Amino acid sequence: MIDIQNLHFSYKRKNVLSDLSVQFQPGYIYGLLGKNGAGKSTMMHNIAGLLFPKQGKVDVLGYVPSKRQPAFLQEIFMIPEEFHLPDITIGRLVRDHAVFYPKFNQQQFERYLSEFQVPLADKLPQASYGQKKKLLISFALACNTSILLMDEPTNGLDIISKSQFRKVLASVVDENKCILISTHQVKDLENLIDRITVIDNGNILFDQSIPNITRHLDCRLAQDSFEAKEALYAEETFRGNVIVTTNNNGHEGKLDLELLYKAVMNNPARVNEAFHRQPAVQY
Amino acid sequence: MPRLLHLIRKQWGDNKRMYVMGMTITIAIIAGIYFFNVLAAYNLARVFFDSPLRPVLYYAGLFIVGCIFAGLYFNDLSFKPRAITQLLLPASNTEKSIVAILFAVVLFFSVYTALFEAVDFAAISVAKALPATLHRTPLTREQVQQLHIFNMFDGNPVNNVELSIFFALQSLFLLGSVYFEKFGYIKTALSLIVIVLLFILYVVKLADNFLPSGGFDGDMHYFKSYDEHSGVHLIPIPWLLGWLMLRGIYILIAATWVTIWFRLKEKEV
Repeated sequence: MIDIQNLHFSYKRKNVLSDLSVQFQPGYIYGLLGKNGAGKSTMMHNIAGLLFPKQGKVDVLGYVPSKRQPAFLQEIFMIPEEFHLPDITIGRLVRDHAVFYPKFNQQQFERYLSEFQVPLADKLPQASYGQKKKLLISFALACNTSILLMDEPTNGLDIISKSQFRKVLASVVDENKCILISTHQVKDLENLIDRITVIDNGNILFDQSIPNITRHLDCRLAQDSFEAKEALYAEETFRGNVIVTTNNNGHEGKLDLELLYKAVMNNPARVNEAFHRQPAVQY
Repeated sequence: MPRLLHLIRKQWGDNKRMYVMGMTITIAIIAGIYFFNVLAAYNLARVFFDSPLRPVLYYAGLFIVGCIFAGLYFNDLSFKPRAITQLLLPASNTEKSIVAILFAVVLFFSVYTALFEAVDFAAISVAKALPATLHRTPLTREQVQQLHIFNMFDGNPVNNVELSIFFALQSLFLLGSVYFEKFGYIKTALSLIVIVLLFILYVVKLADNFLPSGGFDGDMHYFKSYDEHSGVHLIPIPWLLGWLMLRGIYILIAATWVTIWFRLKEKEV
């Protein structure tokens, strides 16, 4: 669905993505994690055709994104970190904008708005930032595009809304859709994403599915200081040392996205090495 | 409904407040000038109606406001969140370029001209309807009745030249709004000033040194050379060069529109 091969991208002299290769398949929600400036948004912009690769190839649904053909644009929707909605009513927004997306579904749109508790009668200029963001997310989901790119979608959402966001998003993914969520608020993606891709300095540091991660790794409290010392990553808390360790227990490991992210950033080679070993039990 | 019509409807829906407000303010200023001359200072009416002040007012409004409208059309592309919405809208670059030219050039010109003519017609009607006692010198009742509506499509070649200059200038401002990343309107204005100054410098300094004294005739197919001893000589201009000089401005307009398409196509954000 999305095939990126040897992608290089730079802003003038600043190299952002170098020789990046990654594939994203339909039917999954991908979490793109990384520090600020790691290249997550740049990769998304290349996928959407908003930036053009300096070298390498980006193939999305068989289209070259940089051509921005209408048939391609009908199949992709991007919710940027900073977004814009025109100063019009919701009704007008739907009437004038939804027509460009052949798979837009009005009933779905109203249902998502209802789940987010955004009144359909609201006028956009009077809505708060959070309300506008929920409206945009509802609109994006109702467009039923094959690819949905979300850059920091939970920024500006309150705790209840974040929970609603996870619930709504989990309900929309199907075998034809590919959803990419870029964020550094990893907690917001817990129990939502199917695969984690960590980007740093324009390279893929880590790229594994959640089942594969829980098969090979375990995030838990260390039983003693020796275990903490031997772990892939350890962090002191008031409860003791929380660690990311290889899963040798023969059962599905626990996953703490934030801890895993820190482990990857701290020592990516060692974390990746754990995936080359046979897990204790095959699920 | 074809996608182009959806795009036109969307452009109007998203921007109608700005368009209506901008045009209302423009026409209100023009109407104010008209009715000031007709009513408040009626003795100025003769100067106003009998001199070229109406065409000047028409063209001043057309050029100033028209270039502002065009120069701000792609302003959204200067702001990342807005640019993303614009560029990812499922329509082709050709459709987006056509809608830009339609709103910034064709519709602006048509609506402005129609409203100007309406104000002109209203002002003249009021002047004609005023009681004779109000008609102070120097405009007589008979002169008022003979006033005719300003018609910029009267076949006057000056109007054609001014209109082609306007369309060229407006197209360049439209290009500037998509070409420059930020402050497109100001940068376009400054660029055009520099280009015009260089052109004048070229004509005055360089061309003067290469061409004999004289000038081009109306159809640009001959150069009229004046000489104290032998009088006027007609120097034929190569056909293609003459054709290009005559139609250069139309070629410039067409080239600008094509460049807008290319620039939109290669826009990154």
